[in-house]
Amino acid sequence: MTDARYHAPEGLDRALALLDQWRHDALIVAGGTEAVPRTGYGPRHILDISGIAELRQLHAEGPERLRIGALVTCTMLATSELVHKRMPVLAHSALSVGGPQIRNLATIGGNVASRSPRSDLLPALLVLDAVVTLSRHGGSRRLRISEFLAEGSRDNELITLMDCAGGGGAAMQRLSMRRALAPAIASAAVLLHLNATRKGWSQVRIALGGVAPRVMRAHKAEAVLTHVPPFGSEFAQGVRRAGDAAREEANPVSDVWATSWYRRHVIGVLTQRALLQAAKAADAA
Amino acid sequence: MLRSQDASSAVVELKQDGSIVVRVGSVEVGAGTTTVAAQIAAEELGVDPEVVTVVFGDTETTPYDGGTVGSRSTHIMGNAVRAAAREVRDALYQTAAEELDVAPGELEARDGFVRVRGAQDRGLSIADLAFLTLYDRRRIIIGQGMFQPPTGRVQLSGGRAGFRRDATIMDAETGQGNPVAVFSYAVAHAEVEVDIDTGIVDVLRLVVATDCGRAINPLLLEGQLEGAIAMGIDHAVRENTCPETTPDRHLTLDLTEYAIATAADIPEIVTLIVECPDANGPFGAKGAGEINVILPGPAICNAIFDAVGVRITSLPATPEKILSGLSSQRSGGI
Amino acid sequence: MSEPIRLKVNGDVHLVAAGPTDSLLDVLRERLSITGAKRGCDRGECGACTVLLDDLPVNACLVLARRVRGASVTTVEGLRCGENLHPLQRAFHELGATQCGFCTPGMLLSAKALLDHNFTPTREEIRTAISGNLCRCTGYTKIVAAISVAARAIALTKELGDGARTASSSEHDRDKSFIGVVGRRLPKIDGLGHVTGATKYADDLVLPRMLYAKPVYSAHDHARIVRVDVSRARQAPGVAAVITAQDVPENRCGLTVKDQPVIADDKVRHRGDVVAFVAATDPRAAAQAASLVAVEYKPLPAIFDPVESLRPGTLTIHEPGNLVPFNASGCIRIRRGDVNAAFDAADIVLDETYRTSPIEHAAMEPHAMLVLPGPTGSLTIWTPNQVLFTRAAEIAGILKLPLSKLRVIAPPIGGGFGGKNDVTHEPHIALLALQTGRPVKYTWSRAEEFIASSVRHPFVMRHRIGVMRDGTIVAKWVDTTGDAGPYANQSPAVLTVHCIFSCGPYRVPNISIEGRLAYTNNQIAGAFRGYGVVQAAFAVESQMDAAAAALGIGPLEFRKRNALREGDTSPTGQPLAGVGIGECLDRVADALERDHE
Repeated sequence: MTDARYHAPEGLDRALALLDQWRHDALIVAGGTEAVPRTGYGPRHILDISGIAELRQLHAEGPERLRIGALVTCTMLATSELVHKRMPVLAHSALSVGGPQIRNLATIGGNVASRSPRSDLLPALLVLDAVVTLSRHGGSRRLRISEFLAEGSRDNELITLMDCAGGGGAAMQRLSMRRALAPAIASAAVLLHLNATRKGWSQVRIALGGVAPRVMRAHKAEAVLTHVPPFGSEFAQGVRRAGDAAREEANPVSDVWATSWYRRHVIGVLTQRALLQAAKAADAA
Repeated sequence: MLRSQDASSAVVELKQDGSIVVRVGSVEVGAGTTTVAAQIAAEELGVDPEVVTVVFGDTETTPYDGGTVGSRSTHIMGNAVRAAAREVRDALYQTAAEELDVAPGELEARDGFVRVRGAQDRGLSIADLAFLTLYDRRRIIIGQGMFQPPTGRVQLSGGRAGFRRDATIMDAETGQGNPVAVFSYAVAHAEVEVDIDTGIVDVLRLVVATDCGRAINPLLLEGQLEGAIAMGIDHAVRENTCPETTPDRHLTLDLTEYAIATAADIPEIVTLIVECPDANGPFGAKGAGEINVILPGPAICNAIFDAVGVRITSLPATPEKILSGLSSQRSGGI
Repeated sequence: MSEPIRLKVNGDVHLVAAGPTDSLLDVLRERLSITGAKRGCDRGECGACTVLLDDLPVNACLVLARRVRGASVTTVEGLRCGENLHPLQRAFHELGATQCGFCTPGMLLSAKALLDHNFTPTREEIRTAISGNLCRCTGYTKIVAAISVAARAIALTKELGDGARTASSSEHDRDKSFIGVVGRRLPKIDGLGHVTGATKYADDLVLPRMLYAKPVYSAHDHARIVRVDVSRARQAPGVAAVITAQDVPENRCGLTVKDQPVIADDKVRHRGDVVAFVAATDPRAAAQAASLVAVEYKPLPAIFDPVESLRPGTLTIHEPGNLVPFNASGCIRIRRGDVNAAFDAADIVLDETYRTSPIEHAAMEPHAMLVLPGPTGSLTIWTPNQVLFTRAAEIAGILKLPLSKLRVIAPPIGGGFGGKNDVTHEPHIALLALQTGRPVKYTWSRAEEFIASSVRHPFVMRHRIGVMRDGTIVAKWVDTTGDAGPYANQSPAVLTVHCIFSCGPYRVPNISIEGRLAYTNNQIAGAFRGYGVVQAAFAVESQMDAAAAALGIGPLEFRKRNALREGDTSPTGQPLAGVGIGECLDRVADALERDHE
């Protein structure tokens, strides 16, 4: 028999108070896709937050932003008209998570909290420059997603909200061993904004997944492309050089799905393809 | 299937109301051995398969069977069921011949009746015959059947005690002998698309023609062929319990590390059934449970060569191997 | 610390005990005996446990039971509309979309969720909707077709009312016009149970006072066992018995070579060797106790390459050496004609070495077994084993029981493919049942499947082919080594079949084939659909294309020229009748031509 105790608070305040009390002794269960297989390993407290309705909301803010509650599921992201309109790259990323059953359970908060190098949502969230709200008993703070990836959360904090801004043109390219139920071997998300003259870029963001201990922004690749005009053969060459830069910046490992050299090779390809796709979308925007 | 693989036996029992119980030691793995047993018994006795119940897989209540393996059940178990059903049929013909005052050879069993051939109005229902035989003639109707593939013995040379039976019927130095019960045949054609930047192979289509002698149940047969082809595709492009990509040896431990195809991964599969009957098979049937898993591997690898000129000599044909091959080509290797 | 919760399942409200870490799957199966949802992996990776939670398909193994609260749960048992089957159930049954049936309940529910909001799905939408439900039997083709047909039926019903006849029934009626029963497209006679969740597999069986078992597997690939200490395990809460090698009456088994211990005594030779087995009152207690078994090993170097394994001087896994001694020479040899002369005369000779990987059967149903001891020393064993009678004899031999005291029953099997072909842990569970006097059940976890169940033999095959410019094959020389793993098992038979088929369905006048098996510390290599021919055909057919290319002849044409014909002989001299290869080649060629028109 297990010693664990189960708690399912319906209000956020109650949940935060409990978490403040138990800290590392608590296993937080949101969608359950990561946590439930781990309940057998002896946590003292199971803190089931899946019933906190206020965290499952998805709202528009202004013309371009979305406020996404931490318990919004991948299915909700993949099917929301708002998400499709404002930041389709997030919908597309959500659709590549697991399979339908997993998507019905898995939450954006859980995915972000895992900080998994293979996360399907983090590359998109990185290029969308998402802001994470971390709440604790008695307060909250906001971190840019890149900071969150570096620091993580404190043991009495819960991710409660993701704030993202869309606009421009974005794309995600991903490679895996089969078309569903497969973690990404490597992935690249890109967001491009044309500047006012439309003869240059005001925003170049490239994020790489699966090729480093954390999902990362590819700053070198971004630098390569930032001053490249968005059309013609210069652009094409810039895309190729950006792909090469991504290869250099990547720091992949070998595992059951792929070797590090394969990941390194393929991230260049995916970066290029995502850049071309995003450029088309930016042009159309 | 090897001839050394043991016999199968079957018992067919006719109840007083004309319903039938078939007992076989085979098991049901999903391929439909029990359905095939019911069909063969129903065919021999001229009844609707709905009145046939199959009892299976119990060492206490079903007779000996060599195993639901090796593509042998339809052929070997099927023959045993056929033989047992014939005994029951012959017992019914005996009673019917007496009742109708004809020779047993003039009778046929169809649609739940035993009738005189050519005089369809002269007949008796199986149920009536069962009742008559049991209560009037005082004969219990239970048929038994056994089948073992005919073995051919070849002189043994250089042997030693304790050989496996299949080894004893092949010469130790030349291998000559008749160890195989039945040969089936198949041909597969694969169409693939290779992404030359990532090495990912998209299998677009498999066309496979299979000779299994006689299709006892085409619906179930197609299911076996399609399933085996899908498994063969997985073998070709994905499956390895000890992936070659890890820095140290690692055995896969779950169904994400070891990935088999989802519904989104299987291409168009066309199965063509060829029937070159086997003289020893029930209604000419050979066996079909395994053969289609064999060909997608080489068909896909040959298609990869056709597409991009890379020869795969070790399975599975992973994207890494293809990229490796492509980069050898580029650096002037091939 | 179980609390009662109210659970609404298929419209009925239940008050049922649920522990804090019990999943919805645990509660459905163990507390409510609603066994339609299956346990395929317990990690959300296979979809066999799919249920609908307020109409959304989810993995029941990933949902904590206590979380469900007011939501409605629908399982396959709730699909019927009163007396009538749901159109999906009917379509699956009549169109052959269910084979072993283990994935069927989950598959039906994922499909229902799709059709409930979209009754004109495209094929792609169907494939996506069921992409979280693995199937190893059907290849999904008939499943997709059945869902498509059911969708049309539902659409028709909506348009015409409930009296509409469905497309699927007219297809089936057409077949009733066949005169015979043989040749008829008859749905499986056990199919109805599969689509309603009524079929009971081994893990669905329960008996009163049942104990649960858990193995302790080897911590090393190759090691000497110094000491096994089960004292702490025996004292652990809920434990009824712990067995070790000493408890096994006949501790050596093996179909050809008796080289396999039932419970490892002197050595462990792979990760799947059993070192001890525990029986306890619930699965968690059994697992806990298993972790308390302390084993002292002296690790040995491990051998993973079958060719290296046979090099002189390599550490031996068995005495006297690593060549599996299934006959006097340790080889299968097939010879005819004069290969050397033929190769000398050949216009082109190709020589290549081919390799295949170890492959897991990955049936959706993990192995499960239940043993009931009788009052007079008899045993009843329920086990999804494909080779019942021979295995019963093996089990009886290990237990030193007469066969008359042993009853082995095979429940419907959730996929075999050769992986349920061996005696695995039946003797262990039987011993625990005999010692405790209680029924004992063991269901493998998916991880245990990967660690301890058998795999397809990896082979290293060197093939040499000699051909003439006119396109005829004149010679084949094959040298092949199979990786048997640590125990011989069925490897000799697999090797035999592998060698017999190492020339493919072609006329080859001069042949030299030699094959052998090497012990390694890899997984046990056993029976697997195709039985050695998968590996041989990979080499044969790859080299056929290479030879065709070298000759400048098309691959189809090259095969036609050399295909076996009626009255030819196999490499072992067996006369061949009913040779269908020519017709198969023609049929494929025709199909391809028709596509190009």
